[in-house]
Amino acid sequence: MNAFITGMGWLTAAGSGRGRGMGRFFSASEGNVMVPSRKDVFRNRDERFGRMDPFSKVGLAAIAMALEDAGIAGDPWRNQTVGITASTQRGCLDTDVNFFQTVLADDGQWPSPHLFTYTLASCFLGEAALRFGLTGPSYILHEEKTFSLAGVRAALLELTDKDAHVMIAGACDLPLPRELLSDLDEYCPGPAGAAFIVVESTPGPESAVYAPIHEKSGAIFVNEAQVRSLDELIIRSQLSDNRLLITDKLE
Amino acid sequence: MSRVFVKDMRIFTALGDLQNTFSALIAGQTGISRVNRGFTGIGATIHILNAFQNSSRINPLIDLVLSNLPVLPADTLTITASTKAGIDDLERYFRQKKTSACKTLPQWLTSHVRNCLGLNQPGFAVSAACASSTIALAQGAKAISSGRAQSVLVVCADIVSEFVLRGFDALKALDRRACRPFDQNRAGLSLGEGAAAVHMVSEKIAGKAQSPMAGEVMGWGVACDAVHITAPARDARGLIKAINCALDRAGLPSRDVGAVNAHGTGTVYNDAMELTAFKAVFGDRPLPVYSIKGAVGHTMAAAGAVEAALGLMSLHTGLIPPTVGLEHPDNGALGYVSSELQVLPRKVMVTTNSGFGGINAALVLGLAGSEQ
Repeated sequence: MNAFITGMGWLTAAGSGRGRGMGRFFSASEGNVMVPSRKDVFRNRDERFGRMDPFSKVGLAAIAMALEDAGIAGDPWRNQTVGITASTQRGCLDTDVNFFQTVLADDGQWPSPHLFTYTLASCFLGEAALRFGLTGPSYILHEEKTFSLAGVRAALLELTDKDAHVMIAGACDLPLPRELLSDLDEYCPGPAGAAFIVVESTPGPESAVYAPIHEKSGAIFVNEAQVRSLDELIIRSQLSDNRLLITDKLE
Repeated sequence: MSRVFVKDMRIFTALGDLQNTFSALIAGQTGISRVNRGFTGIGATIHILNAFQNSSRINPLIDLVLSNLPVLPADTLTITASTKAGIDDLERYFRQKKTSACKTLPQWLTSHVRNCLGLNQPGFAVSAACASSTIALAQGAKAISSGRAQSVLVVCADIVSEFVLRGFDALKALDRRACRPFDQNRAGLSLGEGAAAVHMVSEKIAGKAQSPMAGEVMGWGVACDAVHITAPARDARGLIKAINCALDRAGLPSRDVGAVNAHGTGTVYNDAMELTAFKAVFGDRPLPVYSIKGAVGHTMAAAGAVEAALGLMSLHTGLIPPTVGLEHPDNGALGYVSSELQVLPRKVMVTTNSGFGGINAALVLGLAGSEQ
């Protein structure tokens, strides 16, 4: 089944961006990812954002930018069947380490309940669902590579199976926590960052499409060309000629 | 679209393997007791895992459900589910620096299963809090139903660790005694550890099999509340949507469902939310609802598949286990949940799980080959 990429947003070591209007091209480079502040992501007050762990902030920021890019971040989409699938390699390891330090401190008298809440890699999907009213299937896929296509593949299958009308798909990883660098560096290679795309099976009349996308036997094709990683997918989509309104195309 | 059959299933909980766990459930026994692994608390642990002190308990736990599996087709798709996998190795790493923390990464579990069984298809690891293995089963069922796979193995596991026990304790989510699902005085959950391996196959493979199928996954549904991160939606909107989606996919009216295996954690809000959902979907008829968490604890990511396997045992035997820990049913649970053994009047049941982030998942299970 053909679907359409209608939005994209990212936050990597090279900076943040979205497909339209920022004049930036996606780049996934090695290095630290700057964790965004609430003002970087939401114009309005958001009481929870400041309390979230860095992994969730980075993931939520990329999702918010992708939805804004697609023009579907507003209330009309509230409670529609929109799902999220994301791949990760390191998940919330950084938060795991920070939480366990609170278990080790003071003979374990005061483990942080707040940090513990974020020791599930899927937490930021719930944060996004809460803010944008996304009620479709949402889950994390743990992969051996960063910027894997697993989330996109899963999203396309959710659309094919008609379990959602719109899917937000991508990947999210922070750098390894420094405490685990010597142990896991070889096991967890690859750049950090988050990148998400919005994929719609039947874009609305006002949707602007970057490129058609489809899955075949596990492989992902953008504009009929196979892509092998999420960064390649986003760059290819950005360079696509299909950034036209559907209505323009019909005319 | 292919029907999805369960060819084989293995579990291991604090009450033993599948047969022993089911027998103990029917007898109303509990595996919840004092935990003593260098940290203390209440939980349903597997005692033979206590001996493993220098490496993660996730390995021997997985071995308990993989060891006697028959040879699977090499192109079997592997789907795994775990919330924290070998998190005890992370604890050990920080305390002793003598071990690697790589088993903390859930993708390790997928590689381990594939290597152990000689499976050559790349698999994946699902993480969706306490609904992880329910979603893993749904993913496997989708793959078979659509023809993308003929054979899928879902393996899930979680252990009781200091990390998780201290975390839930800090959240004040643990009952000080064994948990009491659907009870007026319920006061939180009890952690458990467990694993499951569920082998699902297509109609084509089932037709060629020499032995009868263990059951059928008839429908599945996944939905998010989009209401709160740690608390369920009071109006149960996500769970209602997930169950209705699962029933639609199964092509069954709600009246055909004979019982519901609830998530039934023993927390005040979860259990109340579930009763709201069941009444919304199934109406006021006295539908048997039960929870096994008073017996095996909350096995986290493994809960969904452990409960699905035990649900199929209920369908085979026609027996619904008593809800262990239930003493004084919540007003909303009267006529639904019982501390007594019940009879399963139909050949279809629903099993549900919900988790942090507002995620909900439901499966419709049936006896293989039965006409509903």
